[in-house]
Amino acid sequence: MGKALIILVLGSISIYLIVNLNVNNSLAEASQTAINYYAEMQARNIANSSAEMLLAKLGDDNTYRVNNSITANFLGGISSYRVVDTVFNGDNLIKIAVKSSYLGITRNVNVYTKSSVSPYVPGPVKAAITTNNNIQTLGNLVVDGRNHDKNGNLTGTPGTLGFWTTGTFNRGGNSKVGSTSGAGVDISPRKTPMNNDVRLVNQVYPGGYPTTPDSILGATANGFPPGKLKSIAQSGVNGSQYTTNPSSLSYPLKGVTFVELPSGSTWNSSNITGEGILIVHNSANNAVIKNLNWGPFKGMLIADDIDKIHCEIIGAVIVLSPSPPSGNCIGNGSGEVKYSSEAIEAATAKVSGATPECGFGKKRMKISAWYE
Amino acid sequence: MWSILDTLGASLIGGMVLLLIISINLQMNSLSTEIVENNIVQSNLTSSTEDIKYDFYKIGYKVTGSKIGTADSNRIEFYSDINNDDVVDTLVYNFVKAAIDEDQGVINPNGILYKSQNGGANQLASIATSFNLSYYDSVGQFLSYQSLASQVNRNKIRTIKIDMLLSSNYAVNNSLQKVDWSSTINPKNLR
Repeated sequence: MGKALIILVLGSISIYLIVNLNVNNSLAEASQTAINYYAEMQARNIANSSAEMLLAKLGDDNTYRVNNSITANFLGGISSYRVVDTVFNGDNLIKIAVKSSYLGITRNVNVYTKSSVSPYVPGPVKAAITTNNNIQTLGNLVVDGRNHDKNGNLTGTPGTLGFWTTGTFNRGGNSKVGSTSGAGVDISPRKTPMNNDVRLVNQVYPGGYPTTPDSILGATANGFPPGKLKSIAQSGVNGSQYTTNPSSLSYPLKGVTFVELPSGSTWNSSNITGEGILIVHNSANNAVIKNLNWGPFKGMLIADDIDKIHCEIIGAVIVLSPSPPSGNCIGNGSGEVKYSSEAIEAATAKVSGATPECGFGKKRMKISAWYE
Repeated sequence: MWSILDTLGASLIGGMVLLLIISINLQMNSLSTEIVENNIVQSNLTSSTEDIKYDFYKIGYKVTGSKIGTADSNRIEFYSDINNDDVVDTLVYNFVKAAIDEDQGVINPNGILYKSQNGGANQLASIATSFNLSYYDSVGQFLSYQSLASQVNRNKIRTIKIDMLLSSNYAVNNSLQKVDWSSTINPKNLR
């Protein structure tokens, strides 16, 4: 009886120990699962935090690049990262590649970001009015290349010339031209002398005069591949509009207004009240905007052919066609064109993705894609 | 006489000890089974949620157009370059409540969360008792499922909340082991 009891007790204890061992193993597995989960989260957090910090660095300095991978201890783990230039969908981007590990768990994060762009005055804006053809002014038209704010008041900061053309310039009537000369001197609108202090003629545009609105904004290299401005207008972003019939436009104009007239057609007479970028263009480069009777317009006016400005334009005007069908006279009434870098920058900021400076005067980055 | 009393006493005490040990063993067995089942459910949960989060965090990655095609309580279709190979993929997560199964007298309520990629066959993403998706806009406002029938409203989605309940396949002591998981995901490409 005693022996049997001892055998039973020992047997039961053995069973108990085995079961206990199994339970302990299960608990250890559960703990390991929890640890792995924590490590995964931590590795992911480290990778994302590293990417955010690199983005902040890029925000401070757009030229910051790390072509060879750098490894650093970070938040209890290890991060390796690179910051390199890349191209995606024809867009010039910066790629941040981060590989972080924590307790043996590794996570990758790739961020594609766009170098933030300051609001800018496009290079082809050579003067208050830039043309690719012979140009003539009549009547009381005033073209002033001195710098104005977006309300048309002089700022005292350097402006530009009154006219810049690949052809000739002929001033007539009581029309006047003002400028900031090459020497940096502001010149009030005047009739004479019409010299290089107020206008430049027979100029050669390096690489050829731009023939499309997208090339005015800097073309593909600057984020404006062919058709970009048209697609912005069609998207309606920031109040943008696209039309082939100007009578359908809503006012005031905002964002990008793209009027694509049929070949040889004329928008006459035209109300351009509003702001942003106004484009009158077609693939034949013969879209005409005529008798600009209602304004003011603040921003950039880009057209194949401009036939007589009779309202106030604050910003800049660019004529694309080398042989405008309406002739060479750009104004014979009481119109005014006042160069304004502020109005131009406000217009380009809307389409370039540029953001106002923020956070200690630094520009932030625009995220295109984030892989985690 | 004393000898008989000794034997009876020893047998009584020995019997009680034996019963105690057997009882403890039975309880340990039951506990062990529960822990193992619970561990299995938790392991299933972590592996399932890891896969789900892997995909959901990438919603809209390298997509230029609309990023979510369908948004319902138990079904979502979204677009993403999930393999990072510059090709946009279409992913569908779809929860289907399974027919009621019975095991050991207890109803097993599990359904199946399917995943398909680029119109391919349904693949098992997870066994789940319930799977529910909620959608929120940029200011954290809940978007009703009716409103999400419109692509315009689906484009407003910025946050997705996942609620998931997993149960064990087998009942222990007439009860199923259950693990509840809830996660709010803000895909960085939905902004």
